[in-house]
Amino acid sequence: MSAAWAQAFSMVFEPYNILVILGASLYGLFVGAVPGLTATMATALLVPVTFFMAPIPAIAAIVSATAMAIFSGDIPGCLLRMPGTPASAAYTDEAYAMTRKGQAEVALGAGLVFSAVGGLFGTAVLMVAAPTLAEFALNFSSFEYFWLVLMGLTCAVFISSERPLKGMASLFAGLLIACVGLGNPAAFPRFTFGNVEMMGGIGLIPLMIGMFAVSEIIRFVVNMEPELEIVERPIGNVFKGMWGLAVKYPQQILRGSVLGTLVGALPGAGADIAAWMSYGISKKFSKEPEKFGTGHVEGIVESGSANNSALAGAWIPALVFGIPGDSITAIVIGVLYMKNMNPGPSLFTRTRRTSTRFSCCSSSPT
Amino acid sequence: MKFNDAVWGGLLVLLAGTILVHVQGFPPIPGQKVGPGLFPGTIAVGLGVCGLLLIANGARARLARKDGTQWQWLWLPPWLKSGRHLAAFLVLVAINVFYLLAAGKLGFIITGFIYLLAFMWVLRVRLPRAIVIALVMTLVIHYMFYKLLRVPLPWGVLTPWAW
Repeated sequence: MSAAWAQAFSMVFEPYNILVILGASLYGLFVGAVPGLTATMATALLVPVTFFMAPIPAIAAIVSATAMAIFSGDIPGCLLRMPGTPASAAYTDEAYAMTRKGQAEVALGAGLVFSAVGGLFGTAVLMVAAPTLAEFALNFSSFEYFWLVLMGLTCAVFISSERPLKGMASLFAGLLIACVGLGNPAAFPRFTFGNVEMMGGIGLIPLMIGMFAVSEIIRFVVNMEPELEIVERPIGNVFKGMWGLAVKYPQQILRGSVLGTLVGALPGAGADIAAWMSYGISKKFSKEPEKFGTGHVEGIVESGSANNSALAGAWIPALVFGIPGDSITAIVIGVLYMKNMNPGPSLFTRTRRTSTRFSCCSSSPT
Repeated sequence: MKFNDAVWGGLLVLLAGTILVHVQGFPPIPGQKVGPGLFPGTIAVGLGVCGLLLIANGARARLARKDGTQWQWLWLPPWLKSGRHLAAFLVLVAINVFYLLAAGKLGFIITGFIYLLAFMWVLRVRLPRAIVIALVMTLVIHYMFYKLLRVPLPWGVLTPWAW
């Protein structure tokens, strides 16, 4: 096994591949930081480019771009209160509150460092325990998925701290919006008002831009004393104090990473659900839950590591069984087929090398 | 603008009732107990319960008020009284509606330019600068999405000169 790993490492760290990883990371950084452009979109836009590449740089490009996009979604969330990707939405308010307190570098640093920690953790799990974990996830039937989703939704209610009742009402309103369109088993047009465009339902991206970006613009425009609430202070060294946080919150980091990997490994649930769930859990088990929402770094540490480890976890069912763990891996499975590397159990039995190659690719950007 | 809890509660109950009546018209799937109306119906019940609880909250808040202060249906924010800010808000809403209605006919470039120009006015950018920024940004966005990302943005009246 170690020989296979060594070989995989040497394949990934060829100069050309490193260059591709660097370029894709910059691209992912940009896409993730633009509110409304998701990591899924970054992947989708990369597919035509990777079409002209060899398999390893192609996979490396996609994996590094998505990992960077999930992290960089934290940046506009922290500085402008507009999450760059849905995965950052869970702790946007928290990070923005920290920025207003003048702790932007701590929030950004926590996002960066613990994203990397979570990503590495998920990757390590992927390398060591992928087959076993995938088997466990495959045992889940619709009942387990139902309760899992329900758990994720309830977490969203508890995040809206002061008024759970209003959180509950918003939850139902959101579910109602999701009902619009033909997307039901009977394919009956629900709540479309006879409009053809409503038949496709209301997408997450327009909804997110409306709820987060437009509302922020309105808030700014009607502000009686207009001053842009971007940080006035220069942002210091983002790595400062991170070791202290790691020592202070080891349990949170581990919990976030484990939960993220597990949620990511479950088909259908991705980085955004992992982030919401672990933010809720972090608050529940925190010693100082009253500080959540006022600019407290603990939740960012935990859910920041959760969303990146979910990304790595999503590769487990994708590679082992060809079942996508989220929308990103769904696209990548298509790319793999184009490259004649059919995902599924045979990928592991045929060559151990191929699978470890992925693991290395996914760890390198973080 | 902040409404009393009871107002929101009333609206939610109303919405829930409308949905419940509406989903009765959804056709069942033959041979199955579960149809397209079940899920929205369940959500409507949830919304209705939340609405009732919000009304109860509002009523309780009223009963708790013993000092004789006025019962308030809504609280107006100070910006509603400032003409500038109110105009800014209305323009912001109006340009979005304008884009929705006009983008198909006028095309992205013209609509986007007008949109950005109006937005610049809201943000109090001086006119010469606003025109330049609006023009350049419209073209940049158009190039990014139309050429690079292949989003089929409408050409509208500019169709004969499409590039």
